[in-house]
Amino acid sequence: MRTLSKTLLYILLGLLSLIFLIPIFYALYTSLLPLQYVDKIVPITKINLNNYITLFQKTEVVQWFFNTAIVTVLTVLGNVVLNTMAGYALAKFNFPGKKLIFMLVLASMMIPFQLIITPMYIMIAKLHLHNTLTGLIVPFMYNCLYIFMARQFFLTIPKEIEEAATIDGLNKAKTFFKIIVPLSGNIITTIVILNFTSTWNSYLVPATFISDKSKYLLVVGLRTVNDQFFTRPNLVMAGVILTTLPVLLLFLRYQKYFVQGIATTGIKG
Amino acid sequence: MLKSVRSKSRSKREETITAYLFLLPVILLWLIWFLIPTIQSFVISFYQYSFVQVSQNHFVGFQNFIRALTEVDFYQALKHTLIIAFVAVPIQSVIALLLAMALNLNIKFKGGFRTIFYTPYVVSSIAVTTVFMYFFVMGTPITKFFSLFGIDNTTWYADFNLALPFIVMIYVWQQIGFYIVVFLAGLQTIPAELNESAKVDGADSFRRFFYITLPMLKPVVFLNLTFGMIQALQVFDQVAAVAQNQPLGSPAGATSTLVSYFYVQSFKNWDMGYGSAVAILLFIVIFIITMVQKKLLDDSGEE
Repeated sequence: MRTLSKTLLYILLGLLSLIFLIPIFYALYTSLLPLQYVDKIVPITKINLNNYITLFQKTEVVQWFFNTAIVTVLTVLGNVVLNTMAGYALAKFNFPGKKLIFMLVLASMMIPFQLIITPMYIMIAKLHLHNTLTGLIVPFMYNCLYIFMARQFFLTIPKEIEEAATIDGLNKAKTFFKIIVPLSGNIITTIVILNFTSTWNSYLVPATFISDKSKYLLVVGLRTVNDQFFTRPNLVMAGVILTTLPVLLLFLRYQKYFVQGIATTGIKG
Repeated sequence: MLKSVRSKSRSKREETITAYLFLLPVILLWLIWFLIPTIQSFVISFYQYSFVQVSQNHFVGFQNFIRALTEVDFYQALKHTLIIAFVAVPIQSVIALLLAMALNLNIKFKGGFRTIFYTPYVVSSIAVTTVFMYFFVMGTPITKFFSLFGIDNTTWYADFNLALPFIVMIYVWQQIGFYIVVFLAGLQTIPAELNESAKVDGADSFRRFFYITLPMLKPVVFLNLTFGMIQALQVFDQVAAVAQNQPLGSPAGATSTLVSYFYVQSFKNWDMGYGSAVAILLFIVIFIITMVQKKLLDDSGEE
């Protein structure tokens, strides 16, 4: 009886897994097929990378890929440096205004982004930052959620470590950069992973701030590829794979940190 | 003595200066890209504010809000948004809890299943929607399968009645892994002895679920429902993807949500005052639902 119900459980989980895996394999497989073989099972010799080459020639997808990479890397860099510094100040320094700033960090997380995107766009346009990658990076170089997560992390570092550094003659700033940062791999990786994923996948902002096709990010470009080439699923799936593969690989390599990010934001908070 | 007091106050001042230097970049960015836009958003919601005809902008009082609350299209968007939220969130929460409990049993390949279920959550929702659109074109095995249950064999995202269910379905498919992982993390904090001793006392698995697991999970359930609602009330990417070359909300407004409605007003019609009023109404909807959920579910204050 016990083994029977366990077997049933495995069958159920296996079937459910298929529902989650099939779309991913469908996209990968179709992206490798010539058009006449779409939705058919073919011998492995028929598959090739031609769709990717066609997509490179017919669209600016290579440019979009680099745009996305630049925006993502610079945004993540800003977020890691600025949010950990802010989080550290809120966790370990005593200064007037600390409580107020922390409250503002929490309150800011409650405002939905749709509320600020319109004035943000007006400002971006006035500064002539629309149709520039800068406009996609600078306003998003910090994030209150990550400040909060960093603060929670730094609170767990015992104060003896900082006291020892003070005795060794390090000032507060040096203590952070020389002693604390090397101990903070965990929170830094978590911020990198979460921020990389959300920046890479974001649609609303790049679709709004950018109208010049050569400045598109991948996700926005993918949508136009879907509109334009819908009758050629193999081409569109090549676009899907180009858009998702970097994030998928990052996830499979570092998934422990995705889970950790959830745990620190949700369960303990 | 005096010297040490002085050096103490000096180190105090130094600490304050260092702290503000650490916070300075974030404070500047926050002022420019958060505080000012937030205030502006409230201000322009009281204006006839067009981005293209700046000279005609003028104060209109509550007119934008009144217009929204008397417009059929606004209520349609509100209705769709609430349908998505109140269908997707219960379904995803119940299934996620069941799957998390299954994964929490002593089974093999647990990490593998968790990875498989979580994977869709990390990829772009535009990409996910794009793939599923091909699965739900008329005549595919999937639409044929659903036609066995009396649903028209048609292209779902282009059908007035099926476009919204299509969006709810792919939304749940993509989001559920996140909630499984959160539930699983919550389940793992429940001490095993609690279940063991209840078992010894003769409690069957149903009782153990309702008297131990669920009460212990309450904070996590609260988190998943609140966060789930906030997310579901802001659905946009899927709507943008299924519209293809047609206006947002296609077919014929069947998939318009509050965010897509807001977007059309602000960035297609450039009617930014009205768009901002809609965004504020969205914020109010989110706020009310969150508060009601807090009242109903979160009694941690009484403990």
